[in-house]
Amino acid sequence: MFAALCLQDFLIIAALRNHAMEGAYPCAVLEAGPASTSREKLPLLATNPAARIAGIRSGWPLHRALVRCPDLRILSRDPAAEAILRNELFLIAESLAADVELTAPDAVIVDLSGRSSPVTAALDRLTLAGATIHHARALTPDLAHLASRHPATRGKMISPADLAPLPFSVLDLLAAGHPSGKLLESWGLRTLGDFMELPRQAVTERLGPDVGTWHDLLHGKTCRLLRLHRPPESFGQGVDFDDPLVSLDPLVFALKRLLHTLAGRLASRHLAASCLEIRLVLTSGAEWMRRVRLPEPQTAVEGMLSPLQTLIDSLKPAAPIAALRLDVETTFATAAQREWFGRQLPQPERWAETLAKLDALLGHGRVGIPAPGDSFAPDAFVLHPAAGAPSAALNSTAHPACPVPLHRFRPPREVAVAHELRNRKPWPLALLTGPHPGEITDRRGPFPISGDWWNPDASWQRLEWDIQLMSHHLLRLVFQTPNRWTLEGIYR
Amino acid sequence: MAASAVEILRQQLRDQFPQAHGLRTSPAPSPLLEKPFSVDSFPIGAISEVLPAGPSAGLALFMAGLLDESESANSLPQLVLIDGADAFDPNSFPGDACSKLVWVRCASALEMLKAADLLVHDGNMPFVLLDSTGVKRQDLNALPAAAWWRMKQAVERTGLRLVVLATSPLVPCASLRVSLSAGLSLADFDRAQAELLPRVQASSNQLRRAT
Repeated sequence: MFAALCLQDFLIIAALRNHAMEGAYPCAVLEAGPASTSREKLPLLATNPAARIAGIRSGWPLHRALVRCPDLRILSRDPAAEAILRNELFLIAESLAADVELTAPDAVIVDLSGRSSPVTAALDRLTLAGATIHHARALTPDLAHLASRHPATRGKMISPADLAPLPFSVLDLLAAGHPSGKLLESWGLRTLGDFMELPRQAVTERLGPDVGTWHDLLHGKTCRLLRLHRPPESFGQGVDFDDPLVSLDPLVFALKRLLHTLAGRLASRHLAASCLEIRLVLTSGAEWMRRVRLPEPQTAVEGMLSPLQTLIDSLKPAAPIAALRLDVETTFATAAQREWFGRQLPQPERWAETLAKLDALLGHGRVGIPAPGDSFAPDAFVLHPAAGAPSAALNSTAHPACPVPLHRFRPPREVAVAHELRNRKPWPLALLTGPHPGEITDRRGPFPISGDWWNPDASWQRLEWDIQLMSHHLLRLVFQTPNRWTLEGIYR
Repeated sequence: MAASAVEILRQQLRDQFPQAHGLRTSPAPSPLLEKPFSVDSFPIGAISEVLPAGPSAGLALFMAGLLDESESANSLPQLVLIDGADAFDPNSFPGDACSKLVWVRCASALEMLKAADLLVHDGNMPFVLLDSTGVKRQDLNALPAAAWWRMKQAVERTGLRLVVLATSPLVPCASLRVSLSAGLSLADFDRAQAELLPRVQASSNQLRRAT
C-alpha cells in the first residue's frame, strides 16, 4: 500500500513564509518572465484562499487579477523557502516509513507495505506549520498520487472505481502537455470513468502507447517501483574553541579527533575521502580555507592527517583561531588492479605530502600542471592542480606561433630604446638600458596585438618585435603607448 | 654464460626498479649524447648539468625536445620543472607538451634549492629538471656547496635523474656536464621546430665520476 502526501498551494505557502503578515490578504505568486515581457501580462502561478474567495484563479494574467481585486498582494517565488518546505514534507513522510519518493515539488509518495501498525490515524495527525497536508492511500503509487489531488478522494483508501467520478482534468497530472489529453477531452470525455470505460486495445492503437499506460494506471494494473529519495549526506564537522587557539599543536590535536570520527563514518558507509577541505575561522572574522586533494582515496587517519598537518605547520594565522571546520568529498575506495604497462606514482600518499610542503614553501597556486591560456593577452596561462588531475584531460591542440620557446621575464623589464618613426609606428634601433644593451642588428615585426577592445577600462594593445642584438642575444621587445618599452623575455 | 645472463638480468631489474636496490653508484656516462632530448641520455641516480655554449644555444629547444620525446600515452606528468626564476612560458609549448610536466614556480635561489630537495627526497617523479638560468649569479654562488653534495646522495638513494640547467658550472658534484650549442638567429624563427631540434648539438665537455 502507498500513501501520497501533497501540499495544496505549495508556492504560495513557501512565499508567505517570509511575509506572514500578508497571509490575511489576497495574495498571488507571479511567474518570473523575460525582461522584455510586460509584468502585467505575466500569469499568476498560485493564489491563496483569500484570493480565491475574491474570485481570482491561478493562470490569470496580472492585469486581469488586479482589475478584479486591486488589493491583491503580489509575491515573488522564494526558491530557498520552497526547498525548506519540501524538506519538511519529506521528513514528515519519512516519519511514516523509510521508503519515500519525491514525486513532485509539492508531493511525496510513501511505501507503507512494511508498516504493521494502522496508518490512518497517523496520517490524519500530520501537520505542517502554515499548511495543510492532504493525503490518500491506494494499492499503487500513481493512484494514490492522483487521489491526493482531488478533494473527493482525499483522506481515504481508494480503489480504481473511486476515481471514476473525478473530472478528466485530474489526468493532467500525468498528461500535462501531451496532445492526446486535449484530443480525448475533445471526444467528450468528462470524467476519468469515461476514459476508463474505453477499450484499452483500441485506444492504444489510435492514440499511442502513452494513452495505454494511463489506462493501465487508472485500472491499477501498473505498480511501478518508487524512485527513492536519499538526502545528500554531509560529513562536515566543526569545533568551536572555548578559548581561541594561539598555537598550532592543539589545532592538530582537534583535527586528529575530527579525522577519527570521519574515518569511522567513512568506513561504516564503505567510502573513502578523495578531497579534504579545512577551514579556520579567526577571531578577527577572517577565514582561512584550503582544499587538499588526496592522490588516492583514503580511509586511514594517518593518510588524511599527513598532508593537513604539513599545511598547518606552515600556517601563520594573523589572529587566534576561534573555530575549525572540516569537510570531505567522498568516493569509493580503490578496488582496481594496478596497471602493468602504465607508469604510476610509486608512493602517491608521499606525493600529496610533498605537494603540500611545496604549497607551504612557495605559496598557494605556485605548483601545478601548466596549460596555455585561452586568450591572446600576454602571459595568459592556467595552472591545474598537480594532484588528482589526469593530464590526458588537459591536452589541447594549441600550438605556439614561434618555434623557439621564450624564457619569460616576470615582470617584464622596462628598457630605454632608441627608435625612429616609420609609417607612424616606432621602429627600434638599439637598446640603451637593461640587461642586454646594444645595437639591434635584425628584427621580426612589428606584430600588433590587442584585446578586450569591447571593455574600455580593460582594453589593451601592443606592438611586439623579436630582435637580435650585436651580441647575438635574441629577445622579445614590446612597445605600448604612449612610450613604454619592455623586454618580455629572451630566446636562449 | 650463466653469470653474464644473471648480470644482464640484474642490470635490467636495477633499471626497472631503481628504488629496490638501495645505494647505487652512478653508471659511466657516455662522452657524447647522440640523443640530447632523450631522458635516457642522462644517468640514473646522478646529477647532470646542461650549460649553454653561447647566447642562443638552444636551452629552451632542449626543454621542448625533452617534452616532445617523453611518453604521451600516460595520464601522469613525466617530469618536474623547478623554475628558479619563474620564467617558463606555457604559451611557447603545445598544450599536450605542457601537460607532461609539473611546474614549480620559485622566486629565489633558496626556494629553488629547497623545492628541489623536497622533490628529490620524494622520489615519485623519475626526472627532475632544475632551471637556474634566470637566477642571479651572486644568489647561486651563495648556495652552500654542501647542499649539492647532500642532494647528490639523495638522488642516488631515490634513483631519479636530476638535470640542472645553468649558465655556468654550478653543481660541483655533477656526474655529467653537457654543453649545448645551436647558433640560432632570427632567420630560424621562420622554420618549424622539428627542423631546429637537430641543430642543437650536445657535447659532454667535462666528466666527473661521483665518489
